[in-house]
Amino acid sequence: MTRWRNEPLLHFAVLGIGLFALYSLVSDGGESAGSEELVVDAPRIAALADQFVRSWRRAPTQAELDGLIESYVRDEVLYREGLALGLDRDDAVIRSRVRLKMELLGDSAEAEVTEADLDAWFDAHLSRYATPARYELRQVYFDPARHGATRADAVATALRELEREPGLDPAALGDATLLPAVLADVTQADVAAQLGEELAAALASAPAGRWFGPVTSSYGDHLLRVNVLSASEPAVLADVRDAVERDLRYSRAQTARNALYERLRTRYTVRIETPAGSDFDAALAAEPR
Amino acid sequence: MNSRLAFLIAAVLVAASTAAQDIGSADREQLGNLISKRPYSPYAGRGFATRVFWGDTHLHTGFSMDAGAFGARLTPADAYRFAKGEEVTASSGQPVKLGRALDFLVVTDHSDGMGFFPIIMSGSPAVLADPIGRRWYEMIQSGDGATAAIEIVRSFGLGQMPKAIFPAPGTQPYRNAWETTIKAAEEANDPGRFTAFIGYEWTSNAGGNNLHRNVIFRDDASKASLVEPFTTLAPLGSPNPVDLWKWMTDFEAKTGGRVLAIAHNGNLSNGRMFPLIESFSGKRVTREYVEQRAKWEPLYEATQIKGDGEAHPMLSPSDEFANFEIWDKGNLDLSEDKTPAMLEFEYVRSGLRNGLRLERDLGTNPYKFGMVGSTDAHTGLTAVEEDNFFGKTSSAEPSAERAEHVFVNNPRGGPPIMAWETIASGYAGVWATDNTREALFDAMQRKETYATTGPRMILRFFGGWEFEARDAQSRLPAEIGYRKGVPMGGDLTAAPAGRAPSFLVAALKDPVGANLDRIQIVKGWLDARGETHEKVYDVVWSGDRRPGADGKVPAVGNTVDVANATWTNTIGAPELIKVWTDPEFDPALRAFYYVRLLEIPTPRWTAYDAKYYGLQLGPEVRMIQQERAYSSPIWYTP
Repeated sequence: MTRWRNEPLLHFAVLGIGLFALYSLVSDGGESAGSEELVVDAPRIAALADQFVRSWRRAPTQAELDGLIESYVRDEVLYREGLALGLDRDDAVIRSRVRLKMELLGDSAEAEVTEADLDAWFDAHLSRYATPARYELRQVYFDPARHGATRADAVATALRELEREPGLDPAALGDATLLPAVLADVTQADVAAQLGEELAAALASAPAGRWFGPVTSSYGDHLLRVNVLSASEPAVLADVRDAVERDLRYSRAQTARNALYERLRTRYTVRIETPAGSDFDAALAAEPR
Repeated sequence: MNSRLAFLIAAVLVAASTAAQDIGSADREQLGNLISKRPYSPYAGRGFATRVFWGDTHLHTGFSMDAGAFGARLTPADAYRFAKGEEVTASSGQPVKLGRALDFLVVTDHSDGMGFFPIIMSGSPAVLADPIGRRWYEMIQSGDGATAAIEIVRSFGLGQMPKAIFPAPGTQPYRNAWETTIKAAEEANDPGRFTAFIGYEWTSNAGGNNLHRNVIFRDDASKASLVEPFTTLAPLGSPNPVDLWKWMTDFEAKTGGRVLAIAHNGNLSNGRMFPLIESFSGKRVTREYVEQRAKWEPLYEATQIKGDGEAHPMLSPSDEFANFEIWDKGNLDLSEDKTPAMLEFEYVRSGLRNGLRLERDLGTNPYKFGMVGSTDAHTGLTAVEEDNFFGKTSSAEPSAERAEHVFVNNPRGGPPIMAWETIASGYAGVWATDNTREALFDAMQRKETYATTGPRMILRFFGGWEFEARDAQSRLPAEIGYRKGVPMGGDLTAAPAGRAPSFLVAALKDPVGANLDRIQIVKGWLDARGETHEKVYDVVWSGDRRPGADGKVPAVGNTVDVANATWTNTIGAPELIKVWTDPEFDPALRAFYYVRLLEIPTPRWTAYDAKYYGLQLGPEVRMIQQERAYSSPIWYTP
């Protein structure tokens, strides 16, 4: 039963019959419909010549141009007939090529950036271009391994000392560490990079110029004192123009393709007929999230 | 010292901010003055590196011919955006963002055929007129880019690239690709916040043996655009590194700019990366070779996705940590097997050892390199966090199947290299005064750098003659380190009579990472008979472990839950510091010392894959690892 299905000769025979049917279709339809118009207009000829120039770095001779036109006509005839026969369907090369062209279409449609575009983008993303706030941060560190159960007492004692005498050298309290005791002029991002997210997060709610804590990081406990050196300042477009234009163009390139797709997608009602109870379902169900 | 003065010094030393030039030795003197005179401005006189900057010196985008063929569509501009912490869409369509932004990046697309892939993709008449070009075009168009990529890489390795379509320096497509690369770096460069270096990879691959170098420019477009990258194909290029160094010499002479080169993947060079017998001449390396290499190659990329290159277990049989993510099946395309005799000329440690010998014979140590780690990712994404690993190529971006793909087929029937063997590694830590091209480049030039396999632990390493145990109790180890000694990458000479070198070494875990297991110091030396040796010392470790009879500190333990891809910081230490003195020092012998810092065991990227996709990976797939850092060495020369 399964054996004859795999027989190459049979495949050949089936293909042959198919081709024969195709041929009769083409020869019937082709000859009777001799009226279809194929125009090679001046812009087309100019484009053909231009393509030649780009490859060969010189203008084509008349004979070469005739050859290009003849070749174009040949392409066009076979292309149209091929499309009519549906030969473009299920061809991976054609599919991916057409998809690429569609996406490039989306990109180029958004190429122009005007002054008004820049203003609008800048206004909508003010926070991104704002000068970040700058802080002076001091910290006293308590190593959990060195204190054990008495850690809370040690932290509280140090905090009392610092409150009583705010000028006390923070580096003389707590435990020795490679972590910097003072960050003289830093942004929140700098603090996150050097001390971790926990301490960076504490900046926002810190009481100005007063010791507070403990704040727990992945290293241990910290007492902190924060001075705001300069608050976050809104940017002026003229200062960040280049960055704004770059971000705007990038954002457009990213969204244009999706926008084009989404627009075209609305023309279709997509129905996915997943076979019920298949392995595929099981795999989907097992997938996290 | 009164507390105000201590505070003043603390502020001066520790604060991060902008600063001027940075040359370590001169600043030590300035610092000495500061302490005695105490200038009014707390920021005056601070010149040494107070902060480590993190980056990747080796990343490919779709402009690299092989990356493009593997499906990479991201451009250099995308790569810089991603490194800055922006979310981008990977070539596989998945959204991706770094857990933490990097401080710098060098996009290093292959100089040979730079922009080749965009040309192939264009399906231009020239490409389609060439039978091989047409073949690749069609393969890529029909979704079989991976096969095309392998053919392209192999053809390149065999020197069989179709000349007609291959963009060569001097042609317009090549110029366009280089200009685009430069422009992307110029736009992304943001002094003080993010450094985007201009660079490229010179991909010498003669016979499939990896002699690749990344070339990094200190300067901006005004100088880099005066040249086009050096390639490996005759007549314009050459696969011989001696010719690359000539190109670099010419560049500096012509433009007044500055460049350096970083070699990588000696493990795939089949005995040619750190030669005693040079592979192009077939003769012993010459005085010119050693001088030029020492001049142009201050750093080596010790770890990256295609295997770790610090040490090999056959070269270091008593080092229980040497067997880390080793790739030793053959050369880059597996066209030639690896033999044990090749290993000595492939790994960092043996290279450093042989460098001492060459220095004795020829007067210059060609293998006096500092260390960086980098990714060599071909995705445009410098993404090597274990839980955020976007693979070596775009075809290896996260998917349920990727771990068990074949990465390099073995054309001779031996074992292939599997994709699960790629490692999520590494990054470069650079101690610099500021985040600018100039400051970072100068730090690289003086080798004040270290390599990590991905995590961002802080590592300090100073060598001198006067460190004492209590320096490790200091609140400001860096201040003492610079004052009493030289930092990583530095030199010790003129041993005072009766003194052995002492080292102040300190490490702090990654703020979001795993605790630390131990700090080791690796020593190599050249004895009086001209033989080289090595020894690994456990210097400081977590907990109350005691060294065993063999002198080794026992393993730290393991908290990894593989099924859930988690671990706990219930073992190990967040911070380690110690002063160590060489107990077996002989002032007559050349030596080097570098640090290997080990984290506690953590889940490998394969464990995160298995958890996310619900996979049962084969028993051969490693799921746990001990991430690590390697400092640049400090050399002692009698």
